[in-house]
Amino acid sequence: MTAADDQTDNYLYVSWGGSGRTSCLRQAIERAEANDASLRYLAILDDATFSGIDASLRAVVADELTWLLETQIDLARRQTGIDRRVRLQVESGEVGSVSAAVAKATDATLILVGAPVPVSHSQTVVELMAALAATTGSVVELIEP
Amino acid sequence: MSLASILFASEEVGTLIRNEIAAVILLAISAIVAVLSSRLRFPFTVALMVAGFFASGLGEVVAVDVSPELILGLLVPPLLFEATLNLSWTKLRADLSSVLVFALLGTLFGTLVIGFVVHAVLGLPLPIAFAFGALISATDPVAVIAFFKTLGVPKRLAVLVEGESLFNDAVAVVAFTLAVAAAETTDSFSIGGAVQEFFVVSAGGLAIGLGLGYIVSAGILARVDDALIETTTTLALAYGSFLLADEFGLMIGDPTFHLSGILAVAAAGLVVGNVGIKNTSPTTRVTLEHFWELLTYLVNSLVFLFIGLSVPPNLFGRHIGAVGVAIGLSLAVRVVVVYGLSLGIGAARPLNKISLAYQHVMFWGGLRGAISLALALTLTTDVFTPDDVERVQVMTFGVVLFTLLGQGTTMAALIRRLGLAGRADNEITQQRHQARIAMKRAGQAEVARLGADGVLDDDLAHALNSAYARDVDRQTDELRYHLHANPELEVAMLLRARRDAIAAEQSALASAVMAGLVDSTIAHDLAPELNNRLVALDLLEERWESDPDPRLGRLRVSDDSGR
Repeated sequence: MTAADDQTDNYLYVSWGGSGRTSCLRQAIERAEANDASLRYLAILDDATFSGIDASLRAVVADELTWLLETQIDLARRQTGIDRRVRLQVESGEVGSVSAAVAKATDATLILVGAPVPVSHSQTVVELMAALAATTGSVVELIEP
Repeated sequence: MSLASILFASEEVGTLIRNEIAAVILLAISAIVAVLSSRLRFPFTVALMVAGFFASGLGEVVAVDVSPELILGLLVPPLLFEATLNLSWTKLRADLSSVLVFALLGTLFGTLVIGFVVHAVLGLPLPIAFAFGALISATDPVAVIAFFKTLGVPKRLAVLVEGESLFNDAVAVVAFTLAVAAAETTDSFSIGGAVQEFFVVSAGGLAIGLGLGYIVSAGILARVDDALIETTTTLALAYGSFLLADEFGLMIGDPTFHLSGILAVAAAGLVVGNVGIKNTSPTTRVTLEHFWELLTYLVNSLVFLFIGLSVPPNLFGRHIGAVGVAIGLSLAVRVVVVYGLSLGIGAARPLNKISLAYQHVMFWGGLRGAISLALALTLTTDVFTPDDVERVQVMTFGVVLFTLLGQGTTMAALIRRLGLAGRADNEITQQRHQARIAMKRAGQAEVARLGADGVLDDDLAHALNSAYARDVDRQTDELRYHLHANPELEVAMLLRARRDAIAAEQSALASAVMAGLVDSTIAHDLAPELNNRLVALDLLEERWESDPDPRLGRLRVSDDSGR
């Protein structure tokens, strides 16, 4: 068991695309460090963009995304000078339901929504944040680049 | 003795061989022009037309039978299929209504207004005047889209320009075909009848394209995993959908009845590009992309060369007045279409409002290209008088030349002046910092070497080294601040570096095979893995570089996305 597992606050940083991701991640790391919270980075291959893709290709995309995000986490830690563990989790599915499921499973106290590109044609980021707050009971905040 | 007389001295040299020789010469010219225009930084397509002028001096050697069937049936389908293949429905959907308004109303308005004016001012008969109005309403965004990518303009603007162009190509071809058909018929021409026929022909063509596109997507692309078979099938689909629609009358016992083959091709490409391709392996995607890119390049080259061959410079001088009218008219109509329809779209659907800056780019970016030229080349003296055909071809050539030279070469400046070149200036600054860091580090290394060799006094070497180290630190800090201020650059740098690294991995694999360190069968197994990673990067890049949610932007009242 690591020190992070003993912490009471669990932060969940959620992202599904958009420019300026490293900037948002830096802010999430700084928030977690300031409040001594654990930080989980949930990257979603959203249905709106990736659902129709061939299964074998989707696996490669997830693999490549993991590689890129591990690099990005390393970069953000170097830039902030904060050596805090960031757990990376890559999932596929509908942004709202995946975020809610992971938030519940990890007892997230704060959900940070980063670099918000449109969720889908029918749902705005603001609507998604309201829905997440209602279903998880967590505080949901937006991080802008 | 002329070159033609030498080559074609034998009676046994048939038409096929003659055409083959001409095609080889034209392709060689195209390759030479590509190299020269790249070195001289001259627009490739304009250079091709100029080369066509000179090549016309070769006479019979390059005399290809440029029949309407060749142009419409062989050259135009790949252009449209490739364009639709790469058009993302996801991106297009948000602005589909605006794009359709521009493509449909804009093109029909242009066809009618330009047709009536050139009929009244230049005395062209109405059918060929409408044919000219239609063909000159088809915009070609290839050159503009290249600037968009270089300058990093908002994606919505690119979708509007590209989407409008694609659909207006299809509408223009249908309108053009109807105008030519009207000239061929002995019945009286009526606008109402033409509009009715327009919708029947269009809907039929679309239905055939959508149906065949779906059959190929679900029946072949989703079930077969072989890049060569799948690519060949898309080629058959492009030409097959055209033929089936165009010759639909034969199936119902009325050979004079035709549906729009062009719209069938466009619809088939759209379905394959957005449905079928999702079920293909990364290797097939790469193969498809390269195949269609090459085919489009070849077709574009031939079309621009053909127009150069068909319109000798002396004709240009003879019809200079008509060319002036055509240029002025096409610009005036473009003003009305872009600004007028944007006003209407903004009033009807405030969420889809198009900013004035976008409208300026859409107006000035309305270049004309291969489709206009290809259609002009299909006009024959069987239907129209030689003088009318000559005038329309020269006018088309003049408008295309003006837009490529006048508008195309000033687009980048306009985009920058309108403040739409968001990424480019930031990237230039970023690269300046990177270049300075590289320079300073090189200087520092040289000083260290001189110190180590004893050429420099130790104290002086240390002092110089410290000075360089400070310079490097300062530049590194500035780069870091710049990246903090422009976070999107970090993502772009990460993706670019990853892409370069994968390319290096591919190169290393090839080198290992060449050196005999790795068996080619192993390399054959490993190569697709790297291709797959590049395709995955493309998909991720598209999502990572998406514009922020505009609906969120409005809430923040800091919207600059152009909505």
